[in-house]
Amino acid sequence: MFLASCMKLEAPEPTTATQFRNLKVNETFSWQTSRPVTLKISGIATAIPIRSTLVVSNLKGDTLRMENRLMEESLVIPLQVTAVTDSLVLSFGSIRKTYKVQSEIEANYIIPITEQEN
Amino acid sequence: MKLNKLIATLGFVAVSSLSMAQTLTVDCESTPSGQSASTTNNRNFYIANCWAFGAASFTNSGSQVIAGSYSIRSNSPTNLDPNSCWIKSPWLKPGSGNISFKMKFESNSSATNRRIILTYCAYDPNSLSSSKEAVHVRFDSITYTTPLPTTAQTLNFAVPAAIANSGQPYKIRISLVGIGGTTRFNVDDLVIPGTYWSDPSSNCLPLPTIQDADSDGVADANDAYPNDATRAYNNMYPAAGKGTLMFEDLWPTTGDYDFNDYVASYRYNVVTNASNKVVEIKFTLTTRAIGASLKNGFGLQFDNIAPAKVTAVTGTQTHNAAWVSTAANGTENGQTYANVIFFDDAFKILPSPGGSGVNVDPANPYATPVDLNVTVSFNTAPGEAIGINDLNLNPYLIVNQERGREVHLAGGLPTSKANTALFGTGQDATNPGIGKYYKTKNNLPWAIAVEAEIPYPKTKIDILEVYKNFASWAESSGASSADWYLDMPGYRDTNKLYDEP
Repeated sequence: MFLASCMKLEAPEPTTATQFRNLKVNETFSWQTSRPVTLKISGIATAIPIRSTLVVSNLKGDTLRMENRLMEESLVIPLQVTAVTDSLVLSFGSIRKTYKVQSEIEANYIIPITEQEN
Repeated sequence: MKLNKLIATLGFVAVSSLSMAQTLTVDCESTPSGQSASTTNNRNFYIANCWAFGAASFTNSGSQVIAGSYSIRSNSPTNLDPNSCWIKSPWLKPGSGNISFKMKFESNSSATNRRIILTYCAYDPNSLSSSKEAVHVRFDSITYTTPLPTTAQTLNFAVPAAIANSGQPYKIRISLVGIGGTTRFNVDDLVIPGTYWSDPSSNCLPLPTIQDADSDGVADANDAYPNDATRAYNNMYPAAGKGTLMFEDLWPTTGDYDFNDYVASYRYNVVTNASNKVVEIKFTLTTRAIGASLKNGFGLQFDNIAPAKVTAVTGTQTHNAAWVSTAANGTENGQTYANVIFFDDAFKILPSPGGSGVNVDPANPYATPVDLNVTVSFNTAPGEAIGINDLNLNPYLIVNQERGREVHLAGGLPTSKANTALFGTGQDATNPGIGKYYKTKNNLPWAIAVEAEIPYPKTKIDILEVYKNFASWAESSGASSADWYLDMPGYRDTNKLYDEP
């Protein structure tokens, strides 16, 4: 959650320096070992207000965020996740869905149904 | 056409809302937000609201649709078993009146018979099934023989007196069955009188009686403070373990890049309430090393958060340094954004046990790292409270008792008290006009934050000598070697790391 900066310039040629002062680093580099992820959750209209705790965690079960939310709410949740986190788990009551980490994750509470029509 | 029982009227019932008061409705037209209407998406919308469809799909094929753009389509019946094809309601507390829906067949022939069977089931908490449904009780049916009606009819079935207004949760199932031929049912605009009583967030079981001791709207099972209505959740950062802050302190000139002039581990807990507003942030800052002779302070700016949003600060350790000026709420005076001075001299937090610096030279005595626990409390009044997404925490060193000489992470906004005359001097290439702060002209930082607790170099040893993949990470803008800081074979030269006992 510590801050990051963003600017644009051309990428330097990679040299892999052996001394810090000789590093060639792109001006856009944030120097963060975490990366920003925007979790966009599409709520779903419910017959009555369904309120529960939204939990965002990683696959190890470490909790990144807890919020008290209505199921019908659509949310945009900015997160910082470690660079080595590759999946996020979204839980809302008994609903549990796993998403691959990317800069923007589109999520919802719909559980895919595989039932086949006869 | 032969009907065992029929109360049929041609026409349409005006129902369109899933949440219509005291009725449950399926008009097949609703779509999950953010998704386009389709047979799958619309069906999933109702399933998400605890309706269930057994061997029944949604259709938007013109000849099959009864009303609107979508209707329900049965399979081709092969038997009279009510479990073979059905529409099942969520749990509801039935009211009185009629269950109604529109129905037609896709052909008037190709069938021996077709039958609609209505059943209800009670809630059985002891049932071994995940749905907790008791045995279904049949309460009505209607049988068709050819010629089957191919224009929409509205069918009405009275809610059984045994369950109407009982106050207990039931499900209603409408089975669409038959033998012979392939003719299918089309169904639409189903309305059931009653009160919706399912919880889509709890396996669609009946609405629970939630234990909420402090009545804050967060179930005790999820509430980290079940007896405190002002607090609900702990949001830890990092999510597991601690992070590491590592500073060089010669800004605006560069140093030896051992990044141990000040080293601290950190973790903080953003405590939020049931309205998802920040109540307080509890920081633990563990000073581990001071590889410098300069007497540095440590501050934290809450970017874009006005000082007045803070109600109290506890746990800081300042020792009457002349440059520390603190307001009644514990924030630093004279700042545009809230700033908290954690300490004014690192050597008073982690005194040197002898030799130069603390915990950077193995030849010198070791000092046990010291925790500083600082709590910053925020105004939670409506209109004043901040959300967790509003937080942008900006830590910095204050070098050698010179208040304006701040060292931030790369890109960190200077505080109102930063001496901007130092920008662009030495090797610093800060340029506020383009949003560049605390970087050299080659974009090198004076401080690094890592979301893991990692060891740091011994004094005077360049960080690239100990973290073998650091250069690859930096020069690839993080695209390569993102895990450079992990303790993996070949990642570190442990002989050049300070060995903390």
